[in-house]
Amino acid sequence: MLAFDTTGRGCSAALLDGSGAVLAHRTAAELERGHAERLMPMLREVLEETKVAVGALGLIAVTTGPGAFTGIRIGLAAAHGLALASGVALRGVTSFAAVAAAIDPEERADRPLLVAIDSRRVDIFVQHFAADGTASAPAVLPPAALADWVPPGELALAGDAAEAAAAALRAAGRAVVLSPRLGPPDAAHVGRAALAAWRAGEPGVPPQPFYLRAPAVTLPRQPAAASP
Amino acid sequence: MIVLGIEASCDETAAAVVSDAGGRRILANLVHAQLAEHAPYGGVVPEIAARAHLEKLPPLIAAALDTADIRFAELDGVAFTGGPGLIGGLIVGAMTAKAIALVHGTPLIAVNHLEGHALTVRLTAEVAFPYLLLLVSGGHCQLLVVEDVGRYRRLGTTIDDAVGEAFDKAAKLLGLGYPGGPLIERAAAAGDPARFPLPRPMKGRPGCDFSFSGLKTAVRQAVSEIADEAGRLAPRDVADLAAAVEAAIGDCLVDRTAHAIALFRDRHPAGRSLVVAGGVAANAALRARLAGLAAASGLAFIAPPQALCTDNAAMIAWAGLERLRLGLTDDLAFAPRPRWPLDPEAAPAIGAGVKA
Repeated sequence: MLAFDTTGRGCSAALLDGSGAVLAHRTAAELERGHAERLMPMLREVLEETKVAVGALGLIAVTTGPGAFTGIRIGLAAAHGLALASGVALRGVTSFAAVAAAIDPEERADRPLLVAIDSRRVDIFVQHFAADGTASAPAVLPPAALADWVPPGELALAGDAAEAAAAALRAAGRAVVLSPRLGPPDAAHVGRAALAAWRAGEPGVPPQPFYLRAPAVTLPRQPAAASP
Repeated sequence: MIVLGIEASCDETAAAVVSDAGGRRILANLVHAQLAEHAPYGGVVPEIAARAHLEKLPPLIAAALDTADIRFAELDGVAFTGGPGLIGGLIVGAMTAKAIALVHGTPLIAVNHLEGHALTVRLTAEVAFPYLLLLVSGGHCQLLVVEDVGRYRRLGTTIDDAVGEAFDKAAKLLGLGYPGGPLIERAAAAGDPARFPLPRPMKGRPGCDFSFSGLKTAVRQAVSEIADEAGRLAPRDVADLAAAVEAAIGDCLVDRTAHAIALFRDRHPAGRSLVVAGGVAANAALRARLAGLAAASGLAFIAPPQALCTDNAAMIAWAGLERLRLGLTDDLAFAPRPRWPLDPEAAPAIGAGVKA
């Protein structure tokens, strides 16, 4: 399977086998812009390195967001183009699920996990995973509102906004453990999350953008006559 | 050769398939206009346009191949609008095209949207290089010499508004709605163009540049003088003002194009044609006046069919095919270009931004 992520400040591509083992991997870290230029050559490289044709893949997996709006579209447009031209099945993975899949169970040590994703504004995209794996509804919150939103108890924190979330939670007196996974989702874990859902027979996330926030536009004011 | 074209640079999502095997043919030409998506906001909202492109493009491409009865593996090239335009849409079109090209190792062609407009006429008619092109649309107003595929010399451009923009702004002031071009044309049919004396910006001045912002100001002034207390205009007033706007724009286009014809004949004595392209070329009255100018100058007047004047993907596929025949292809690392002048040596027009 081919998996990739372009939703954050990074861009990664991976080719995995059916066991979830990574056969080829490329990453461009700390990439503020330029995902549209970097992604497709990276995909070509992992395919060439493993001598796998797109048509021979069993699955294509892509992060659907949340994250940067443009980044979400870069990955999804590429994924749909690949699936359309090859007939290979396409699966979506949320940024939350991809980050959560990267966390080592030993590292979590039965703590609940909060995945915090950078929204490029003050608010943070968050999802909470209880120790038994039960996930909350995703939310967009200002850091100061996090302490009231997260259930009580010690928390593990991961994701590219984890440090901002940790600072806000500690300021509110909460105990948190920062994961070493503080970057955007990585393609290998996007692939593993998709594979796990597929194996479990779950319908999975549709390969549609998961913006989690409406466009920042306001309707024009109505003509004066219609105003109160 | 058979080429897929993808267009997503503004508020139209489009996919088309063209072929030059056994004669030039459009095998499919599908357009989804995002009018409904943007209507509540009174203009194109870039983030909404980008979201709509991502949603509409994949099924539109599938439908275009279906209509053409062509499979992806049979394509000789994948062409997409690489710029100029809104970056969000350009990225969606570029990534989709790159992905399709990667699957079958198909050559990829990044097409300048303006080159699409410039070359469309060669898809539907026999037109040899060089020719003089008047490109008039909602986003552009330029006079160019088309010397060859990929070789353009700009003679003039707008220094402020594009001509389609002038129609849109005038239509808004007259309460006609959007898009303004066809609405002004319809209203003008019953009007008296002589009742309101509107300015003809740049007319009689040397060179081939355009300016339309003063026209908008004059229309606003005229409206404020004749509207009733509630700001309403009588149908007669609307018709007469629409006719005056159309006549003023026509005079400007004819005057500037006449200057360009003189330059063109001087530099390219072998040139034979005046080509008009872009959405505004769909206006019948303007077409007739420009045809008259061409005839008086001894040039053939050629305009693409109306459906190929407004934004579409057949023009992108065709320009891609012309470039592919010359071996002009692009790499998977191509970066979409929101600004991309056809003539890189022409001086930027400060007030016109990407329109120049």
